[in-house]
Amino acid sequence: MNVFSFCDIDFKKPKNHLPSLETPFGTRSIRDSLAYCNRCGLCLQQCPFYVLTQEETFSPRGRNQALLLLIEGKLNLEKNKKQFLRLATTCSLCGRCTQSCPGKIPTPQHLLELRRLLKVRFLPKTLQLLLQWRADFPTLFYGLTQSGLFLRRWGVVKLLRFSGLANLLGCSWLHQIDRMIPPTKKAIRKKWSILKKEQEEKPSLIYLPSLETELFLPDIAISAWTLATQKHRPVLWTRTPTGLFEYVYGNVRKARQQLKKLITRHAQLQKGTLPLVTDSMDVYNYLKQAANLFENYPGWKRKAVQFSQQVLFVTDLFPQKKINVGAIATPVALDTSALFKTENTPSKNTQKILSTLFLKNFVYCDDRQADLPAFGYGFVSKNNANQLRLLAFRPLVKKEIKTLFVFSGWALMEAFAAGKKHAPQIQAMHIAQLNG
Amino acid sequence: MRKLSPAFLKQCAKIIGKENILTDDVSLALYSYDCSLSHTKPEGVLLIRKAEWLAPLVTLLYQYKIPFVPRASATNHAGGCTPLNGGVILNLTHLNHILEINTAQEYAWVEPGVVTAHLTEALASYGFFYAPDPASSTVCTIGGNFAQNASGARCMKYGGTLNHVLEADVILPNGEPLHLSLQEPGADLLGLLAGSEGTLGLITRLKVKILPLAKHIKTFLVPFPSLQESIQAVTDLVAQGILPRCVEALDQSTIQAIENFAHAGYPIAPAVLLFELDGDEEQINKETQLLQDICSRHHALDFKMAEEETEREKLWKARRSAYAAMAQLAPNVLVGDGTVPRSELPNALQKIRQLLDEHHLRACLLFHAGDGNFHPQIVFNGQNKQEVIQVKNVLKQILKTCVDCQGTLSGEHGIGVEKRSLMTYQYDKQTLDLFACIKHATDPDNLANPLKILPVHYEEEAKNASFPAEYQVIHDTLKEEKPFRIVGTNSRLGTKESSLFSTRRFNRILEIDTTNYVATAQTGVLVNDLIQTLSAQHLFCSWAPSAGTLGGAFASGCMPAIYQHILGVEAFLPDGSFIRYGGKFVKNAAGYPLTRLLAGSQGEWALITQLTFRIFASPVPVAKEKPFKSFQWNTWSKALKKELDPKGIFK
Repeated sequence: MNVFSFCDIDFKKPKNHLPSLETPFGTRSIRDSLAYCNRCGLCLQQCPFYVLTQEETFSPRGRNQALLLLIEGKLNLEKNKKQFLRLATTCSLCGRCTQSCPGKIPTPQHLLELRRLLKVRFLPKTLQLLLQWRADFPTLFYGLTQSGLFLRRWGVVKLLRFSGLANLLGCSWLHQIDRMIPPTKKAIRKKWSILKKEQEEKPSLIYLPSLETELFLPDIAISAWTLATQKHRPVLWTRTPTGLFEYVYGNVRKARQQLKKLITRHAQLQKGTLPLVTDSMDVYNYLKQAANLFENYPGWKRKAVQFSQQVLFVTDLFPQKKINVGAIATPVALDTSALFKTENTPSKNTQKILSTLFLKNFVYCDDRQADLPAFGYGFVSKNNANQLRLLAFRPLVKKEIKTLFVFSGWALMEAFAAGKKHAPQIQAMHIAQLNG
Repeated sequence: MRKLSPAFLKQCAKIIGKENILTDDVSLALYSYDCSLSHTKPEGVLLIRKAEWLAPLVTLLYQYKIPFVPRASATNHAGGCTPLNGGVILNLTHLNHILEINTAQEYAWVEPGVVTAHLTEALASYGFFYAPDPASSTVCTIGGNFAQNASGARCMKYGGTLNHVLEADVILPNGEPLHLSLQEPGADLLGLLAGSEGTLGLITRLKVKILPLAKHIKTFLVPFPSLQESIQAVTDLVAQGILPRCVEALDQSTIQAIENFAHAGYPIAPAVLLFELDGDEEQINKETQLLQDICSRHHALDFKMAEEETEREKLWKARRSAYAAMAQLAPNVLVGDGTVPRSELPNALQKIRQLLDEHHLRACLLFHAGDGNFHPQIVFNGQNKQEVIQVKNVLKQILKTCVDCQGTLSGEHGIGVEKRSLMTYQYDKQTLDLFACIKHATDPDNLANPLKILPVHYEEEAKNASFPAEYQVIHDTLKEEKPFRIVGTNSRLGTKESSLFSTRRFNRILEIDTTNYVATAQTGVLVNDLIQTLSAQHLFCSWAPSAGTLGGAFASGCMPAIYQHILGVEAFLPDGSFIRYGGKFVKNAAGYPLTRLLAGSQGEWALITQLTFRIFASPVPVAKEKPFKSFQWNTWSKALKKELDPKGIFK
């Protein structure tokens, strides 16, 4: 393994970086991984930011080259910090570049390392703090968000926004979040709170809802739960943090700790043989690559590999018999955006399922057309996000799409907010809802 | 490193705005490369968001004598986009609008930054397509394709970008805008610009030819017991008058490497050909039968056919995964490009494989079997300097092998900086001098993409051209330095001047090559005589029947449709130097396309002695003859005339 990596640059905090990356073609140090870029440019037109800006600086190729020059000492970080910040903050970590790359270079992972090096967080400070507490004080966090949602229903959030108090309290992001959360019926909220209490002693499957599903989208959680219980009974619901938030916005060390807890909990239940299903493609991709975080810990790496083999996505639980698509408005399209998107089986299977169910009414959009790149954990600045959403919705409107299926709760929330503005006729649905 | 002067930056900001000028270290570093191994930092990057900015901007650059390099997606494999002499990068990616699609007259106006695949997508909804399809079509731009004369797999049937551009708005290196069209009487300067790698000016708008989509397409996968057999099958196919849409070929080592990666189910055979036929149903069925017969005659090991889109895609899968298969083997892949006459392919490939084995290099050899263009993809480790030097040397030897096999250094990637030292191996001094003259006439201050294509010091290394003894009379006449007018039979010009030089005395058909389907003839041969000779051998050409000579038909500009079939030319320049360009190969992106400089030139700057052109086994559309119109001069052609014929020897 090459000794060069980001560890050499940020030597004060070596544990904040990954020593090496798992790629489809083996384990590589970050420098080696960067050096695999042949500058062929096949990633250019796949990157939403490049499509938007048409500038090399905002292309995956440009980002990789800049990082390589940084590691080789040909570019100075302190002197060019502003430019590097721009590079780092204009990547939504969607991973489409990796998909189109002949060498499968994990550019989003490189960018994450750069973000850690620059100590960039992107999130508003109050939101950042709130999410950081989540892992340490889960009950407090849960209580706070539920109270927030309760107050929102009573119009308090609107009041805070219009009175300007939200800005004073450093919570201007409330406006954005408020627009993104779709209203939920009381009956559904109640049903989910009952289901969550049903903790099973001898489960045959573990359901790990994503943070956004659990808090804001109970209808998806119920759909996923129902899907899980059709095949496996009883199902255990878990709220153990995965460490994904820390991995993207915090540091690797903390993410590793969270993941260790999850793996340990999973291993305790029936010797780690239980399948674990999640409703978010972001979480799925992260858990599938769990071994990435344990390169220097062989024992844990082995456990992480074993654990990731048990991870499933909701579509893996779809029944074999024909699904009744009922009142789903056609034509339909599939948004495959996800964090660190890889060419994974669930994504391909879902495309197959949709094309079987909807036949010609399933409009196949290639990656460039169908993705909603600003979604999920890859937060980008508000201005950029608006432009990217518009870019994503234009082809959907052009193809007269009526229903858009998505792979994660974040994507659904973003599609909901953007759809309201750009294309109210398009209904966004999580893929788990396909089963009713 | 030099820096741009504040005065220039201030004036530049007035034209394009401060926000479109990048001078920070990171931006400069990110515009210093393309897909080749060459890296050079510019002094600034100018983001061109509107085509109207270009003319005043280039004028400003000319005033300050600042070199500039046009750049779009930078997928060039020869270092064509690197600013060797500093200066600025003109980023044209924002000029990505399709301005007009006219299906009735079958053309589209596009800006140079339009991605090739995006144009294809836009046309598909109208039932049309744009024929050139370089492998990087999902990312490369039409402007870049034109500057490199890129072509792709469909070149055999449809030709390269050069044959699909009808008109263009260009800006000369001094900032002067110019409109060039294939229809204008005079030399084909539009053609000269194709493959000029941005060294002769900038393109701001292009009118490209579009074609109706083929109703039926069939793809065939045919393994052969040897490379020779496979190439012979292609030759026989062409001899039957069938021009496939593409003929892609892979050798055994390549198939093995790809199969390990893609598991596409290709048979491991010494050679595998991938044919594609298009046209109407009846025609395709007939051609399929013929193809099957020919393949079985050459001991084909199998014959797989696919008609449906998904099945066809399956057959293409392995061919398309070649680059990815190589990319995952080692850190870096160097993609080469060379062309040889089709008949020389087995010989050239054998030599190249031997060369690669000697140097213990892993590489796959992909080739467009129809036009003799191949792309070795060599795997290496870019972090190991020794290995980089070795790979570069081997690639040079591969290209020399191409030239030894009567081929050319580049079929579609261009010369750029990586191959320029080899230009002396392919061309003699006089031809290189002519390239330098063209560059000097167009860009005397060497501002447009400087130091590309031509080797820096070639005078000592390049060999002198020798001409056949029978042309001594031309040489002697030129040495007298007395002005004269060149004519063939004088049928078009009908001049009664006394100082005429007729090429009629050079009236031999030198070669009719039915392996490569190419003929070579002196320019004094009568067109009608040529057609008669060919038809006696059941061969055809696209020259329209005419009482005049070949040279007359070519240089008068009356048959512009013939230009695309001219592959090689030999001529005398006014100073008595003898030049040779092209040969029996279909693709040539090495140097400026001299065939186009001389096409329609009406004897203003060269006396053409010999032409090499394509012939066919079945009747082809004949080039329509237009009425003769005298040379229409513009500033560029005037500058060329002044540089090439300062004494006015050719009237």
